[in-house]
Amino acid sequence: MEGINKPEKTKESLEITPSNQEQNENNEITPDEIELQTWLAKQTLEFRKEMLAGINNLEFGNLSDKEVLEAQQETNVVNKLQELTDRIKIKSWEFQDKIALVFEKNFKPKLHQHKTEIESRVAKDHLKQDLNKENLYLRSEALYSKIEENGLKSLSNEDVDFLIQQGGASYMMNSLDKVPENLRQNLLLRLVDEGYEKELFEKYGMNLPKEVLVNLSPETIFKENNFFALNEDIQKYIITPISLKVMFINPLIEILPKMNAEMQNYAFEKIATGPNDYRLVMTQNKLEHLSPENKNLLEELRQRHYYLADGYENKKNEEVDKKYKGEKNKSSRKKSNKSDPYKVSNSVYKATNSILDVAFGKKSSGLKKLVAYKLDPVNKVSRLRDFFK
Amino acid sequence: MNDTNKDSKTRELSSEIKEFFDEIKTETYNILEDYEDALENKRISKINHSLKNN
Repeated sequence: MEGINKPEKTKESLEITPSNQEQNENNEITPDEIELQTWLAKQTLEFRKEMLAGINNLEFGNLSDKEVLEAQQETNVVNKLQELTDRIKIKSWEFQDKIALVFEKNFKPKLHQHKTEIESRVAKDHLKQDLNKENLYLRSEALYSKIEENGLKSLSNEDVDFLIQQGGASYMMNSLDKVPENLRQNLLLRLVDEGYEKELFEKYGMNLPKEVLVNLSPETIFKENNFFALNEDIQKYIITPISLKVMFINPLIEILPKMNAEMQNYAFEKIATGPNDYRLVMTQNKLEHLSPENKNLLEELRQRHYYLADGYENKKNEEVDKKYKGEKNKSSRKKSNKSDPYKVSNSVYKATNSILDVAFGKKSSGLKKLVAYKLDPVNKVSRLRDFFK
Repeated sequence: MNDTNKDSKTRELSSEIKEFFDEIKTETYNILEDYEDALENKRISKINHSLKNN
């Protein structure tokens, strides 16, 4: 068995002698059996290591989180990896039993033991789930009684989150007028998440708090002249985060020409330094009010994106390569992540979590965060194929 | 079971384990490669879309 590191001999294993070997074969673990078990464990670990390295080496270029998730869904990668992991679990049991058979261990008790262990684990899980459901039900009931007695002011933000999680969104929506100010913003955000955006917008329009407005869909924000109905401070507040979101870029660029010179320059700069800057190139003729600096920046962007597109199809374009070498790796998002070097978007973090749950079958938040950082579209990583060569 | 028998069974089993994991690694490689191809296609269509609109 090449490549296997033999386990160090323990005091007990050193005591195995020819005279007690027969008894040992039937009842105790022999060095050969340990070697096989080690081999199995080593293969499992190597697989996990390679899978993790494979995930680490994926290249995301300048794709948005949404596009990365779309690719995941199209290829069903998470489910497929989950299936593989399940197969390994089942096969490992089979191997354990086969190993036991080679060493003439009694097969049936071992199978029975597995079965009992699984049944007991399942029973425990069910019990835990039942208890959990019961606890959740009791907690909801207690909160609703509290509301009946003392009104919504007796709730905390955590209580609101809990009630919405337990299906209370509709109840909270109907009680919006009675919600105290300190709970209002969190509740509105939760209701937007729960799909009540349309109802909320019908009720409050652009009077929603700016923290909520930035979480609405582009259809709502840019509908008719909604955006321009806001005061300029709020417009700026909204432009900053949405200029980073792919689905907002086209509608935002669409309304650029309608903005006054100051706002147009502000929005232009935000988009131009964000990850979706290439979209500005398409609309260069529509941007009348840009400052001379921003016009130059637009020209730079235009040339750079032509270079990227050209470089993609004709990689021998040395002249432009010299001019723009290294520039394509620049990213304003990297700069903005300076305060937290491992900061990543939620969707990338969630996707990584699912993959790592499959890879490790346990929680390991530090590692997940590190890998999520490596999976983030702003980080360039070497190609997956190189790893397997 | 005598020792020779046991040795050959041990070897057989260790090869079986190795083969199984080799197979699983190949499948993992294929799954991740499909995913990588999907990402690559997204990048290409993004660039093409950008060119078309110019």
